[in-house]
Amino acid sequence: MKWYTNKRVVWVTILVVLLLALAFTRGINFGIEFTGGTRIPITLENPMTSAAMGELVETIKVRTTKFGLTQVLVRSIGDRQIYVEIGQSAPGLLEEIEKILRAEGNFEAFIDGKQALKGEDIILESIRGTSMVAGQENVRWEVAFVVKQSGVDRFGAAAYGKGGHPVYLYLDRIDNAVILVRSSDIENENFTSEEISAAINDVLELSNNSLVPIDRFNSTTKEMIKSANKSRVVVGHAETEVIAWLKSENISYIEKNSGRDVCGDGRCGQTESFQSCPADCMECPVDRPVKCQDGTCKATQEECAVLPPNWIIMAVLIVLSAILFVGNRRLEAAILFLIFLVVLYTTFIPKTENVQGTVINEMRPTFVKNEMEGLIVEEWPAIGLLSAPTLSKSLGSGNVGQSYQIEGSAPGASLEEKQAYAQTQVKKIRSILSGGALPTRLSLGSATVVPPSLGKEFLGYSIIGMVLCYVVILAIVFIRYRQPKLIPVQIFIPTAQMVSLVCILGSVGTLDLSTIAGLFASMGTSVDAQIVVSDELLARGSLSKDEIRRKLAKAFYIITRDAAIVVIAIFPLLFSNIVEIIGFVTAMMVGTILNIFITTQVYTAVAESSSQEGKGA
Amino acid sequence: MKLPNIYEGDYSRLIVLPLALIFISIIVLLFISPIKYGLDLKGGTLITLQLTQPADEAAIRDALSAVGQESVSVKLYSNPAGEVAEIEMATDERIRAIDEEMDAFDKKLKEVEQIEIELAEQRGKYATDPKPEAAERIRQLEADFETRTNELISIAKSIESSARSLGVMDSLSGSKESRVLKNEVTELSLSAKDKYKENIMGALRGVTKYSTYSVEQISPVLSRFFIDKVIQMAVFSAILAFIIIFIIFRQPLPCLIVASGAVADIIMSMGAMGLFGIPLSLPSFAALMMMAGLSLDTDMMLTIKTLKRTEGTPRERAYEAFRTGFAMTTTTFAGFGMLFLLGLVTHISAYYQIGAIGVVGLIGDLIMTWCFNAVLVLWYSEGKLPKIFKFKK
Repeated sequence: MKWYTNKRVVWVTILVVLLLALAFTRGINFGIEFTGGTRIPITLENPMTSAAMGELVETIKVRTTKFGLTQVLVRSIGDRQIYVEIGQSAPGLLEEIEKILRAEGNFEAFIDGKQALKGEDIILESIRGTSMVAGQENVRWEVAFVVKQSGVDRFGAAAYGKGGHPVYLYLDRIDNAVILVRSSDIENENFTSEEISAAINDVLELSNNSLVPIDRFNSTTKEMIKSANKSRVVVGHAETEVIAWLKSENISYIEKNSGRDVCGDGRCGQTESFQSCPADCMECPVDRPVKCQDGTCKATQEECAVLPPNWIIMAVLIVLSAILFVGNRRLEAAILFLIFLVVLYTTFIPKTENVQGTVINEMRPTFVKNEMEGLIVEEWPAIGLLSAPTLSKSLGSGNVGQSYQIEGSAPGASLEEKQAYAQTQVKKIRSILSGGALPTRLSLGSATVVPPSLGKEFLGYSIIGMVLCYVVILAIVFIRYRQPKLIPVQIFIPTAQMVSLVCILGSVGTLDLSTIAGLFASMGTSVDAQIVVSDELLARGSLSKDEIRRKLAKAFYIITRDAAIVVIAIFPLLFSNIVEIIGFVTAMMVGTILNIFITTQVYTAVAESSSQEGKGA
Repeated sequence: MKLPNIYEGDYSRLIVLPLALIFISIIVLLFISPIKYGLDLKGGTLITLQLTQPADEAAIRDALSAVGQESVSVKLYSNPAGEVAEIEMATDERIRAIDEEMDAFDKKLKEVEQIEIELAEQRGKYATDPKPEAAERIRQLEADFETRTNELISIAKSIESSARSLGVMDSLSGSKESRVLKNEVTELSLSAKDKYKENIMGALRGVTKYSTYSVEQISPVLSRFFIDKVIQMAVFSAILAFIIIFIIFRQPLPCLIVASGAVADIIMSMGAMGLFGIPLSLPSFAALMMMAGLSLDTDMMLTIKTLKRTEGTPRERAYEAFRTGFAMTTTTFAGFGMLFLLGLVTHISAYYQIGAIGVVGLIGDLIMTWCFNAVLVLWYSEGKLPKIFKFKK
């Protein structure tokens, strides 16, 4: 039995081939140093909790998606950094992000048409939110805050006699505008259309706004918009046709998120047949309305890919399984075939996706019943209305001090649902009251722009460097040993290791500058283990099976301790959350672990096969 | 190609070389040429211009000093896309001042708001239960509030003047409302930073022609954060590594020997960094840690082979380890050497720094492990070291 038919080596080869297939299917991600693009690093001067960080990332994602159909990648690094990357130079992106992050909204509270509170009335430090479980299954939430004397007078006047009425909370209230909506945004099966239009009219009147439906965008609609005679228009950002017209007519407009797809590369989501759609896609964009089987959006049905996306992996699995079967390795063949069946199953069963969409359709109002006024609009981000809690009777009687609470009980089917709702409510109201201000200061690193041509050059040089390095290292090893028998092994191990490493790092992570540097380092150290083992094997001593096993054991002892030391020495760097380092460290660690695994397996196979040969000779 | 057995005969002389190098490194580090910090650890601004026409270094310096930016370092080189100008400058004093004042403002704002909250509480209590003590307390709080608000306003005024010195035209409205002040002051500091950047870029546009540019700005706060992190990680790694070594050897003396080899290697690498001007930055720090790990690798392999094996004499074993270790270091050297060359060609500083430290560290490792560490280990195994460090077997 040759060493390469040993089952250990076979499994290593299978692993490498599978990783290659993975890389081909998922594609290899390159950092923008190689693809070109713009990167804006944002560093927070104080760490944020991961929840707050997640919210910030989502806000940025949502606001930057309007930068066209290309992908904007927003990722948070640890608790202090956020990277915004976009695959091409995007003028205005930096300013937009600065605006988002520095924006402090203008807070207002209205009761029955009168302004009750302004942002500057609220003492920021005093805002406190709590939620608690009351009784068996009830969850109550409350946000308390203190108002300055100026606010007290204002509030008292507006609140007198209005106990039980809603208090409309606005952030950046929009007034004197035409709101363009689709009927689908307004309809709600739980309420009658009379109730709905009454509620909407109430809230539109308050700020001198009016509504124009744009289900059909024709000359009548255009006339209606113009004759409304308002100072500007609020429109969903996906209504590209309308926006183009507004631009051409020089009508000033504000874009709000309308939740229609914003995924630039054809992803779309939230129907049953979608594979793994990201949470921020709702539907296909207007220019590519067909939803394909494989989860992409195309212009026409014919353009949909016939084969499912992971056909490469499946093909590879089937072929390998067949080869193994013919080569008399029934067990491995059976296992691979089983994996193939599993992959087949997951590809074709219909998925009931319950994707947690975090993109809100800002053009869509939510309604709630209020005991004094009937059906009211509770939330409508298109006009800046973010919440409408009820004024308590005591406050409506005119007895107002400086401390206030906004409270409610959480609806929901289960205790967990109620608590989740309570927490979100508290967060939302706190954020509204504080004007959406961020709890910490930021330093916006300036954009790094890498032109794609330069990036490609860098990549080219790096690849050439890696190949050269590989050749040089192999040459050193050959020169040292000059053992023709060992040459295939000594080529196989580093090749298997480098290929697997590149595939893993590239498809699961990103190949950026520091990762590539780590690849070089890993290449250099990968043969170290081999050298140690080869030296031990070739040292004096007999070639009996026991002797070989003992030598191997000694060698493995050394290389595993060595690997442990290197991994430990750089392990803390993983937690530094510093992007420039993490790629390097990951590449070294994964490379070292892979290397030990492959080296030990292959050399054990060599030992087993040579001892058997020894016996047979 | 067979390596000579350096451990025959009087091998103790070998230790002279490493000791000399350590000594020289320390002198270099302390007196001649201390280590430079990279941008990420010292803070500042790095502007990289992809030039379309060659630029004049003196002209750049003059233009920048005309807008008040002194202590500028300019590097001109070519990369695959053409000519590049790299301009590095320390954070302007005025920007630093604004950052500090903003910090002070935030702190004072918190104090002011706390008092307001307490005032509100007291007033509420007084409304339901008018006691003279409560009235007195309210008067005290109101006076305190007045004082602190004035302090807040004076901080705001100094931010205003700092912003003015950078050319910002806006001013405070004179409102005493803390929220309003906060918004105004934030606007001022942002405008100041924008103006500063505009001044610099404007100056550069006057003396150079470029197609694209990138600006990297590390604030003093951020660089302090990085430095803290770096120290944390170094300490952490050192402790962990030491624990592992102890678990493997169990005797304190071999542990010390192995650790000393790694420490000596790091000192030599840092000396080389100082001498050749390789800056200490985040990537180079990661490379240093890796070198420490690799250095420990060869030290451990040597010590394990010499102390824990039994065939032949210790010297022979050490020699065997030397041959293995030499080959190991050569291949790793190839890896880092390639990276270094790549860094030189592409001017990618991450490649250059990591590669340079790799090369220097590995040469140091060769010398330290086989001339310093090995000598110590052989002394230990031949009984020449004081026995007090040995545990009872």
